[in-house]
Amino acid sequence: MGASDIFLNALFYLFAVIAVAGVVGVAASRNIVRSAFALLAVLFSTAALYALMKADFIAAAQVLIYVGGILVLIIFAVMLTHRITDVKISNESTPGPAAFCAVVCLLFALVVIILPVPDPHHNKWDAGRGPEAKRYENSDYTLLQFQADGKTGLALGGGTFEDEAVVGIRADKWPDDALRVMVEVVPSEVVTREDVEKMIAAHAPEEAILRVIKERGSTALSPDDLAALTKAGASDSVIARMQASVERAQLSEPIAKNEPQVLVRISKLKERKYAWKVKVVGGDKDLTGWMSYKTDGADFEVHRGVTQPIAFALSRQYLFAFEAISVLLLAALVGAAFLARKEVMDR
Amino acid sequence: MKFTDHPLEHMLVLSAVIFCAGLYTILTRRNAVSILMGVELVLNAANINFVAFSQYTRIGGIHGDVFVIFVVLLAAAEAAVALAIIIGIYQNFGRVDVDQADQMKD
Repeated sequence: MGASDIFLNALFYLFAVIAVAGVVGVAASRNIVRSAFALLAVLFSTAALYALMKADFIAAAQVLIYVGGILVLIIFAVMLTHRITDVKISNESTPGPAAFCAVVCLLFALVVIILPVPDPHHNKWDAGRGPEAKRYENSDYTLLQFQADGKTGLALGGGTFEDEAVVGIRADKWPDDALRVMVEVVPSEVVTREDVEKMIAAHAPEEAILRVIKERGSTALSPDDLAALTKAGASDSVIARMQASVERAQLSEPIAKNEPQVLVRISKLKERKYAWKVKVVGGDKDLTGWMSYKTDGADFEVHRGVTQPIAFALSRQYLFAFEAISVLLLAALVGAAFLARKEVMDR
Repeated sequence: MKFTDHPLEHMLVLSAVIFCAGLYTILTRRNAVSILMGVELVLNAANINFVAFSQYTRIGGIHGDVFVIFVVLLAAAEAAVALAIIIGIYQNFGRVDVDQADQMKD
């Protein structure tokens, strides 16, 4: 557990404590203005918790709509209706102590339902957290990837950064001389030698070629590729960029013979689609060939934050719901203006 | 046990606390604006659940986050209309206590 994890956890607890203090303030304060400002603390710390859960767009929407809109409306209403301090605060139909007992019982029941049973191997949410597994064709090996719809790394528990992915391999039986596994992560839309040759043939400017290589990554160059590229007229900077952005290979920790599963954490991934492959090595020779998770296409995609996925979801799957709610908001706006104006019109 | 072992449960307990406080506020207050604050707390608790399930499990992907957007927009519409009604009650009854406003028309 690194320093950044401890820092993230401390922030989680800090904002959770602020939120709980805020809700106690809302529920218990006799002064309605104080209640409104305690609600402000709750809404802000909830926004911070969303940001810590990597839902950055939700956090921004929370601050803009709840804090900027709804809370200002509420404070406005408090100021307009002059009774700021509630003398007879409690509702007679439900006396405070009875309501308090009922709510505490409800909270107790909820917490009992939520918290896992003490057995650490029986976590009821685990089914949602496991890896995607796929057996490699007719071999003893199963390839694993921990990845959740653009939320890579989170599958092993919270508090990891989004530019990390965890991939692994499970063996029915390790070969006797197996020492480590090697994982290679490749951007799945990489620029190849042929692509560069095509771009040069189409007289693309050098800056454009450099930008494409930077955006999509590139494959490793063999000596033949180098010679062919030089012959095609690629400049030195293009070749240097091709070699600088090749795929990254990573060795695992040494394999423990009694542990069937080896995981490798790959960090500092850029925001793009990736494919990965793995092989078992022993000493200086390879014991298996490269095993790819999928034969073609990307295996996982790295997103920073949820803004882009939400935009896609809203504009495709949820387009009708989005339009419907905008009509509803408009109706609420007109209705609110009408309701608030009615009395003045009658006079 | 470190926090990251059970982040989902911690968020769910937090949202349960917020939900219960909101419910208590709704049950005990007479002031209509206070009751509205309680409703906002309850909706926030639901939103925390949506985001937590969406982020800490692989089930459903991004859809929990999209639902939060809809809930927030509904809360905005509801607050606008409810506050307009509260202003109307205040103009008719001179107070905003919910147990006083027992007539549809004065």
